[in-house]
Amino acid sequence: MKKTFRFSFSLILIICSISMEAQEADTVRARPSISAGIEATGPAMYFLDDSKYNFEGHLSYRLNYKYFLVIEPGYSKYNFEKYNFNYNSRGFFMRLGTDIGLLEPVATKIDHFAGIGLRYGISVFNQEAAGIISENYWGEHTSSVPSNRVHAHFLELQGGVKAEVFNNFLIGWAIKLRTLIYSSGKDEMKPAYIPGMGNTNSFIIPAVSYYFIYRFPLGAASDVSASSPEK
Amino acid sequence: MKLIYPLLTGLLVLLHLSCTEQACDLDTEAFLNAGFYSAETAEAISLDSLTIYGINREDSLIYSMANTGKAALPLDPSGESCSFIIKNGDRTDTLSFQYIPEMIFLSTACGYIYNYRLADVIYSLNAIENILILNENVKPGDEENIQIFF
Repeated sequence: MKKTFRFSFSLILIICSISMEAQEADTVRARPSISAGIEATGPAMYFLDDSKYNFEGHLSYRLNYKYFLVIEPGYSKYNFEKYNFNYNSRGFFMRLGTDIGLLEPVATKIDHFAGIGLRYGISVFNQEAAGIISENYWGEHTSSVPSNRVHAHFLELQGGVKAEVFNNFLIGWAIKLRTLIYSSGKDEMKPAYIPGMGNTNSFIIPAVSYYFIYRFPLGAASDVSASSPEK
Repeated sequence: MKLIYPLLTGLLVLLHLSCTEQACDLDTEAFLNAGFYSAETAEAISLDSLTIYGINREDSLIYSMANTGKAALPLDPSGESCSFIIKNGDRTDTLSFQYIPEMIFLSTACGYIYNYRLADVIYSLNAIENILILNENVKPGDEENIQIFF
């Protein structure tokens, strides 16, 4: 949980710094932009624990000061070893959805983001399990689940921040909660790990992502909402 | 902006709750549960000196001179049939079960377990008068699968 608290602390610092910078309500127009980035915790965690590898990208299109369309494609590989089975899963995933900014459209905040995100995710992957050992009155029995292709669908709710640290270069992170809505794998094919979603241990699956993003501004600024910015 | 603080706080709390390491706290072994009944009255009865063991497993008794009204019998996941010797006092019967083992993934904490779909029961008629299959799905739990009438 140390990592969670460290992330929490940095989140609060970023939000506070954004809040303190912008005291004036100098409403501005948000320029449409495309952003491209990578998620960093997957490769970083791989160096600490090579049983799980997750690489994903982040692409977003800014519609206006509040709404963003987001695509997050990725690849994930997972190996889980227990005393009585060895599970492997690997495959591709894509999350599609929107980010909704909750910052006011003022000059000091327009290039940052703090808000929530909603995603629909689809994952197509192969999984297999070997060395499944069961032991009872009749002795020890070893079996396996051969490689099989599964597709799964899930939803994600996230809250996060992205702060522009250099010109058009943003660093940010998000806390994510995911839930499975459908998996084609049943019974022994029921997946233990779904690429792009995570372990299927519980109804709610948490995740934390850290992003490095570059923004490509496009054209002229879009209209800001007709309503007054929140103060 | 006012929304972001409670939203992120709520997400952090849920993240903390969800990160707790889970242990396997589920039943992982499916037993075929047999209840004992009187052939005359159809009422539940207890047998006062019940011994049960698997065929070719005489050295490993499942019940030894037990006083009980039910028995939990472990099926063999490596095949599609297994047999038991059931001794009630000085009378001995043989019970053979035919079934289909079904492996399912329970969770990462519990791993894979076997359930069984019971197809048939073949038995001798010494102490036993009749056997009824109540529930062919043999899963972890206490649900009665067969009734044995003495």
